[in-house]
Amino acid sequence: MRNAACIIAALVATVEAGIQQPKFSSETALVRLIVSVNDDNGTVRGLKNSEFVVTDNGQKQLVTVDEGKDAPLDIMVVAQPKQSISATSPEQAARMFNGLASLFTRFQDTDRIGVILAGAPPARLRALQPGRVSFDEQSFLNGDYGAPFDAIAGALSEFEVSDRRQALIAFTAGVDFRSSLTPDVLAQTVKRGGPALIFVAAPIKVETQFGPLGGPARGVVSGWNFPVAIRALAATTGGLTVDLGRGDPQKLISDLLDRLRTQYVVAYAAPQGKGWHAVSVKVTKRGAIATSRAGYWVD
Amino acid sequence: MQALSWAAAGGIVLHAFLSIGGQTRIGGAPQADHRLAQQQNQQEDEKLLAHIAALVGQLTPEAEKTFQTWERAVLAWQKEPESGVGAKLASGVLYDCLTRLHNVWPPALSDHKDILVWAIPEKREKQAIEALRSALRLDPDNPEARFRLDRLLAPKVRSATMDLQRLAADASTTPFDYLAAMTLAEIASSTKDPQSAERWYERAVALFPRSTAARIALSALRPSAEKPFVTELHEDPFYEYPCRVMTPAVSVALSQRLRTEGLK
Repeated sequence: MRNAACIIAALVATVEAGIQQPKFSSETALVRLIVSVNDDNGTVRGLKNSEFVVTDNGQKQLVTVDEGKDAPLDIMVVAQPKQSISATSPEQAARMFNGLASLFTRFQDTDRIGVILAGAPPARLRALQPGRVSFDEQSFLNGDYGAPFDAIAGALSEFEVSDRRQALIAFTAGVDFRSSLTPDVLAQTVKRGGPALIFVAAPIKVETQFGPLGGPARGVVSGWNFPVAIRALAATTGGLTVDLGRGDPQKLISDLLDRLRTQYVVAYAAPQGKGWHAVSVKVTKRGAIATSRAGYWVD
Repeated sequence: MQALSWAAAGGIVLHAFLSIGGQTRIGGAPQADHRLAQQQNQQEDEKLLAHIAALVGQLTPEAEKTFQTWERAVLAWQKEPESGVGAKLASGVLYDCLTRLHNVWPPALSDHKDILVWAIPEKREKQAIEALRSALRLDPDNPEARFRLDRLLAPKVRSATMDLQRLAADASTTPFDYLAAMTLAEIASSTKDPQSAERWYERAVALFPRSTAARIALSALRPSAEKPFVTELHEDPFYEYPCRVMTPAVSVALSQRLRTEGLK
C-alpha cells in the first residue's frame, strides 16, 4: 500500500499560514486528516481552525484547516459480480447496481477514478486515472463468486500519495467465502493509514424457519445488518456504511459524493513517537459531529 | 410465544421470534428438571441470537438447491458398488465448502432437522474431516484429500501443519503445493505472525507466479510490495478450490452424477 503517507506527509510544502494559523516549515512532517462534519441537516461548512479540537495520543494539537467546497476526488470503486450478490438476494443485487450506476454518473472530470471487480479472483477494470468513466453493467457480470476483502486490499494498493480527498467505495455487505485476507488482517493494514473505507450495500432481510430447539420449534428470523467487522473497518478509517435499503439509492449516493467533496483537511505537526497514534477530532459547533480516521501508525 | 430483541451497534435491531407452538420443550418433567431445562432452553436461545447477530445473508432457493443436489449426488454415489475414493472426496469437498459459508444462514441438507442451527458449521467440519479421512484410508497418497484434511486440522494438529509444509515443498502435487503454501500463510496471519505469512505468500508466488491472491496479500502485509494487479484476469486455483473438486477424474464423475440428480 502506497498511501500511508497521505497521513504522514514528510517534507511537505509550507502550509498556507494566515493569521492565528500555525506555520509549518517545509521541513515539518505533517499529519493530514480528512474530516467530515455533519449535523442533522447534512454537511456543516464554514468551520474555522478554532472550532476544531484535535488530540493525538491525548495531546491537543495546533491545527490548520482547509475546507473543501467542490474538491476533486481520488476514488477506487470496488464492486462484486452481480451474480455473487444475487446468490443471497436478487433484490439486494438490483439495489446495489442501481447505486453503482448512480455513482458513476456523479463523478467529475477533475476526479481520478479506478475500478476493481471483486470477483474470485479480483481484477482491475481501471487503474486510478483522471476522467469520467461510464458505467457498464456487463463488466460486473463476469463471475459467480465474490472475494471483496481481497479486492479491497488490492484496491488500497492502487492509491498514490496525493493531497486530494481519497476514498475507497466498496459495494459489498461483506459476505465473502473466498478471500485469503480476513477482516482482521485488513484491519491491521488500514491502521497504517490510507483512504476512508466506505461500504455500500442493501443488507438483506433474512427470513427462515429453523429446526428444533431441544424440541419442536419454528420461527422467523429477520435482520438488516452490516457485519461488525465491516463497521469497524469503516470506523477505523473515518469512513461509513451506506445502506441503500433505507432510502432512494440515487439520493443516498448523491449525498455521499457531496459529503466527500466537502470534507475538511486538518493538518498538524506530526508528534514524536512510533506505533499507534490514536486521534480524536471534535468540533465545537453544537450538534455537529466530526468523522475522521481513528488514528495512524508510525513504523 | 417468546419474543427476543436487542439493539446492536449502529441502531440495528434484530428480532428472533421463537415460536414453541402448542408443544413445550420440556413435557411432564419434575419441577427441578423443569428449571434446569428452562435454563438450557434459555442458553440455547442466547446461542441462537448470537448466531443471528452475525448473519448478513441467506442463500436463495436456487443456491440452496445446488447444495441439496450435491448432497443427494454424493449420498447416492457412496451407495454404488466400488464407489471408491471419488465418492468420499466429493463428499469431503461438499462439507468443506459448507464450512466456509460464514455469516450466511446454512443451507438445509437432509439432516438439518436434527441439528441446532448454531451447531451446523461444527457438524459440517466434522463431516468433512470424516469423509476426507475415509478417502485417505482408500488412497493414502491422494493429494487433494490430504491437503483439505490438513487445512481443516491445522494448526491445532501439529502433524497437519507439517504435512502442509511437505506439500508446499512438493511440486509434483500441483496445484496443492501452491494451495498448501497459501494455507500456511493464512495460518500465520491468523496467529499474528506476519513475517511467516509473508514468507509463505512469497513461496506461493514462486509456486504459482500468476497468483492474484498471494500478490494481494503481500501488498496488504508489506507496503513496499508491487501492485498486485499487473496482468489480465486469469484463473487462480486459490479462488476455485473452496467449493470445487480439483482432481479432474473425480470432478468429471461428480458432474455426471450432479446432472443425473438435477434431472430427478
